[in-house]
Amino acid sequence: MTARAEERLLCTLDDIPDGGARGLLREGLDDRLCVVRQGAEVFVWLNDCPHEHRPMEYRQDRFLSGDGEHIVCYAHSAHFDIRTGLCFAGPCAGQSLVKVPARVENGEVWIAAELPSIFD
Amino acid sequence: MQIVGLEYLVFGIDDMAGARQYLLDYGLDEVEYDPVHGGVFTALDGTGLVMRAADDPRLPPLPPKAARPSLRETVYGVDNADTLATIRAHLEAEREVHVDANGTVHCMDDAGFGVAFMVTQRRPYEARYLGFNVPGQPPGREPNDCAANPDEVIKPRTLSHVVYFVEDVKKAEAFYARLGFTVTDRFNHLGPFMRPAGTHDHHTLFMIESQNDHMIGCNHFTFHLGSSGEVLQHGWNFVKKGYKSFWGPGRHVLGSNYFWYFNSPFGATIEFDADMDLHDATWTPRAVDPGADNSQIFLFEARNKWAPGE
Repeated sequence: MTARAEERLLCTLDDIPDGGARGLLREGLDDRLCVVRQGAEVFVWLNDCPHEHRPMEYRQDRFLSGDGEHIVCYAHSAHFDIRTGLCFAGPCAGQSLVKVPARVENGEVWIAAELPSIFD
Repeated sequence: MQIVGLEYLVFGIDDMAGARQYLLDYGLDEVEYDPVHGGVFTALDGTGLVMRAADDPRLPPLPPKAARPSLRETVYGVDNADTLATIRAHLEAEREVHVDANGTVHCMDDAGFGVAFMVTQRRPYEARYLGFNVPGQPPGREPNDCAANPDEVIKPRTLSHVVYFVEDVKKAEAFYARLGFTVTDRFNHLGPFMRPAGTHDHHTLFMIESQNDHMIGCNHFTFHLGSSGEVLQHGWNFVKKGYKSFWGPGRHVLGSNYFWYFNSPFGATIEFDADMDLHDATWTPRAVDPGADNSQIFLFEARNKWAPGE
């Protein structure tokens, strides 16, 4: 697979468990990205809760609700739609996670070389 | 009325297996556990945390506007049956009260949080004596007693405090004042640190008046560890197990407690806490403005181990 301009290879599709999530792009002790897979689709979000701008998981890769249906910030129970990033319950209801453009091709997950900023 | 402090915090959660492992790694002892119905986990003195499925019909309702997982009930321990009867009579005169088969008295407080009272079952326990060698003071430890042990098994000693966001702090505060709680300190425009009559701890309850729709439900809760060193070492162990630091380590100003907060599957951050101030009736409460400088006297972040020459 050849990289398009301004893209970078994030991981392979198989690196993300189907129906699960992983934290990727480690910086220090935190992962910059929350990556969720549903079948052949991958949703990539900045790991930055709009409530207090801290990482969301309570433990490595533990981003999802108990039933796997949505993303939860485990600091103060903000709940986000996996597909839209919209916070539909909790302390930042109505706000959204910052989406990282991503595409899946030939079993590889590619994202924008430059990550969006929460200030964009 | 002598309420001695927190006995249990009861949570309605969704990730039962993850929460169980979390509490075991935090250092609590498992008293009972069932993957569907939940479990009870205790600190050394028998105080602890109860977790139930979020849709368990036995649980009080969610705090106003809060989403599951969440704190559902705060259970206070009282010194004896007479105190419990007095509290029950007091509450029955002003609100709906439910007494369960064990005699625990349940009701809703004036902020919409479930609250309950029972005769405390706190017990004496044995744990490592923690002493500190300070020049100018008698030795804190015997000669040859080495303090630093990489394999030390660190356990929370007792349930310490819980923090609520409330819509009307004056009304919420009055409910607890009628139960014998006193204000030790206060953040201006936010709310009071309160302690019940049966403990000298700076606070077992801190309430913050919501300034916006973000501030809802339970903010955090914590057990006391033995020392600042235990907060750092046990927090470091937690980081290495993959748990996510939220704030800390640092040291608060009001209460003087060392802190380290982590994300948790309980809908609130959990704190590692130690060395809180004690107060008595001669104390004059302070009132300070909120903000970073008055929230901590210092703040650090964990980093990977390193040694000169590596």
